[in-house]
Amino acid sequence: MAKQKLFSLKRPRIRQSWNKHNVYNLFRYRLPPTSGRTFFQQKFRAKQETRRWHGEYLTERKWNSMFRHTLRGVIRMNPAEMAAGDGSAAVAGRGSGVDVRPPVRIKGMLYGGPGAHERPIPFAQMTFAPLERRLDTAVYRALFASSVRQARNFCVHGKVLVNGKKMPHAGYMLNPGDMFSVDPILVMRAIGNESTRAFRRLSDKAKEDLRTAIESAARTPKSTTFLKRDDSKTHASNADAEMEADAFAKSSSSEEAESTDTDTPSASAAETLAVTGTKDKNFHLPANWRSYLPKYPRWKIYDAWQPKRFMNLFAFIPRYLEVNHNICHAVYLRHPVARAGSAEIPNPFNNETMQLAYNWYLRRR
Amino acid sequence: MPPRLRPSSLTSTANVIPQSLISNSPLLPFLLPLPLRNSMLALSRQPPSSPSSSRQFSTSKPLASSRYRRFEKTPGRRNGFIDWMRDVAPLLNNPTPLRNIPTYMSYKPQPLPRKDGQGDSTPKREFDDQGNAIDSDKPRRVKRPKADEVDWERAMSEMSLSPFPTNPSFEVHPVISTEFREQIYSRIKMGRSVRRVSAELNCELERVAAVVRLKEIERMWEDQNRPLCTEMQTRVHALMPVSHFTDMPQHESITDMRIHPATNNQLFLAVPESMPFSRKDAGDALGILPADQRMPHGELIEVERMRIEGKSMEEMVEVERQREEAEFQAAQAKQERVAAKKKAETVVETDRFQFRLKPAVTGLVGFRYGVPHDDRSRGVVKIPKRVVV
Repeated sequence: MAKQKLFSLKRPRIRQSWNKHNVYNLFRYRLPPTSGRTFFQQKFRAKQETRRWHGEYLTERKWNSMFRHTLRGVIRMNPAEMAAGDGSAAVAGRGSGVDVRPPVRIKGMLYGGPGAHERPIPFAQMTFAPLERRLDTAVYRALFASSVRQARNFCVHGKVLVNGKKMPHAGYMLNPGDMFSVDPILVMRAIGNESTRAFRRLSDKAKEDLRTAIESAARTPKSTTFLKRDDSKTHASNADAEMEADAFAKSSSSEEAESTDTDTPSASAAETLAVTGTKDKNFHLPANWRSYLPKYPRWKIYDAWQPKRFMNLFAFIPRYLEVNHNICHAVYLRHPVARAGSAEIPNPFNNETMQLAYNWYLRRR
Repeated sequence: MPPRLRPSSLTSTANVIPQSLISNSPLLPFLLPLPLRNSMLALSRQPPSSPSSSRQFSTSKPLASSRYRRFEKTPGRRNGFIDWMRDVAPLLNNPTPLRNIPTYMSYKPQPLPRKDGQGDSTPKREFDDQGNAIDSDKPRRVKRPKADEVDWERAMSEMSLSPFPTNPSFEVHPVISTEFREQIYSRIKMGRSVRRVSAELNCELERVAAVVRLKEIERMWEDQNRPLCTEMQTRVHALMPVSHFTDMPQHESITDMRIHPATNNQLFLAVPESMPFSRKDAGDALGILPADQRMPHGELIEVERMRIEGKSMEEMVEVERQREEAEFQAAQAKQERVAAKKKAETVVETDRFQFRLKPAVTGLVGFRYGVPHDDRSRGVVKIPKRVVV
C-alpha cells in the first residue's frame, strides 16, 4: 500500500473517509474545470481526481487490469404497458415507432415526446464499478468502517468473514449473494464516537446489571455468576474488552462525571459506587468486580453507542447491499448498476468528469 | 461512447454556485480574499441586491495567475481548517436527526432550514469578530428566542437525497426499516415464496432472500444469548432515509431489467414495413431471450393481461396458484436431480477427508504433466474467486 499524505490541508485530495480533515477538503472541493484545456489535459485531470477518490491505495496497473469498458445499467419495465402490446408499436412505420406522446411545440421549442419524462442513464458514473466489488470497499459501504483504508485493515487482519469463512484478502471480489460480516465490537469502535465510547462508560442499566450480579453472588455461597473465577481464557477476553476502573468510577458518580479527573485510583471505585449508590448504602463493590461481568457484556454495545462525528454526511447504504447492523452482517445482492437519472456509485464527481475519466481508461485515447 | 463536452471556450457550469446560495453562505469568509471578505460581510447584512451576474466560485485571481488551483487557498490558520471546525463543522455534524431526515453536505448556510426563514438565516457566530455586529444582534435575539428552531415541515419537503452537492446523479435510496424486515421474514415463514413476497412488498427478489438469511442469523444469535447492536441499528437508521412498512409498501422498483450487452451495438435488420416486429422478434434477432422472460417478475405481465381481459379475481388467483405450484414442482425436481447426481458419486471416507470420486476422461480434466504450473511462482496472488457457503 502506497504511503502518502492522505489528508493534507495544503495540497488537499479528497478521499473516501469520515476524517475531519477530509470532510473539510470535501467541503471546499471544486470539480476540475475544462475551459482552456486540451482534450488530453481534461482527461488526465479527470483521471487524477477520480483515482484519488476511488481506490487510491491501488496501483494504476492493478486498477487498469480491473477496468472494464462494459457498464452495467438497468431499465425499469412496466408490466402494464407490456401486457397492453407486444412492443411492435415501438418500431412501427419506417422503424422509428408510433409517437405515443407526440412532442409539443411551445414558442419554437419542442417539449415532450417519447421518453421525455425519463432522465438519461448516467453510464459514465459506473466507470469505477469494479472497485465496488472489492471486499474492503463493500465493508466501507455497509457502514462497518469509517474509511476504505480502515475496512482494508479489517480484512487484512482477518476480522472480516465471507460466508462464515475468514477472508484475509481485501481484494476479494464479492459475488452476488455473498454474505460478509465483521465483529460487532470492532464495528462499533470504528463508526462510534470516540470521545463518548461505550466501552469507557457504563450506562445505568449496565451498572444495575453488574450490581444485581454481585448481590446475587453475595447472597449465595456458591458462585452463580456468569464466569468461573479460574477461567483464565474468559478473564482475558473480558479484561481486554472492558473499561478501566477509573472510567467506571467516573461514570458512576452522577455530576462529577464531567470533571476531567482521570487519575482516580481504582481502589476508590468501590467507595464511589458505595457513596453514590442511591438505593443501597451497604453495597460494597468487591475488588474482583470484573469477574462478574457476563461473557458478552451487553452494555458495551449496547446502550450508549453514538455515531462518529460527521457520520451523518456519509450515512447511506447503496441499493446493491442489504445490511443488518444488529448483527453486523451484510449481503452483496448484485453488481451495482446505473438507472435513469442515478447511478449506484457514490462519488462527488459530475457526469462530465466521470466521462472524461472513462475516456482516459479506454484503450485508445 | 464519444465524450459529451462543452466547448472549451465556455466556463464549466459545474463550478458555478448560484448567487443566491453564496450570498449568505458561511463559506464566504473563508473563501474570499480579505479585502473582499470584509466588504461582503458588510453587504450580507443589507437586504440582498439583485443578482445581476452569476459569480464564479473562485477566489484565485484570473489574470495574475494562469495556473489553475483545485482548491481555494483559504486564509486563516491551517488553511482555514481551525475556523471551519469552529464555525461550520457544528452545523454539518448532526448525530441525532429527527424523522429520518438526513443531513448531508450542502453549501447552504444551514443544512436544515430554520424557522425564521426569509433567507436571512446566517449564523450569528460569524459576526463575533465584528464588534458592531454583535451589538446589533443582541436585542434581536431577545425578541425572537425561537429563531434557530428547525422547521421540520420545510426540512421534510426540501430534503436533499444527494450526499455530494457536486454530483446530483448520485441519489440515496432509502433502506428498509427493521419492522419491514420482520414483515418479510414472517411472510416467508408463513410458507410464501420469495417471488410472491417480493411482489407483495415491492422489494427486489435478492433483497427478500438476503433479509431472510440475515434474519435467520439474528434469530440464532438471540437463541445463543449473544447481544444484538440494537442501539447502533436504530441510531444508524435514524441518520438515513428509511422506507417504513405500510399496507402498500413502495420500497423500490422490482421490474428493473438489466441492459443486455448485446443490445449496446446497433443491429441492422431488413424487415418488411407491414410486418409487425415484436419484442420476441427483437430477442430472436439479437440472439437473446425476449424482455418478457428476461425481466424479473415476468409473471406480472400475465397478471396485467388477465386484468385487461377482464377476468374475475377467482380466475386470476387460480392461475397464480397453478403457476406457483408448477414453480415449486420444478424447484423440487431440480433438487432431486442434484441429490441423485451427488448420490451417484463414489465417496471414500478417511478420517480427515471425504473424497468424492466421479468418472472423468484423462486429458479433458486436470492439468497436463510437463506444462509449467505457476502455483508457486513469485508475484502470483491467489485470491479465491468464490467462497462456497
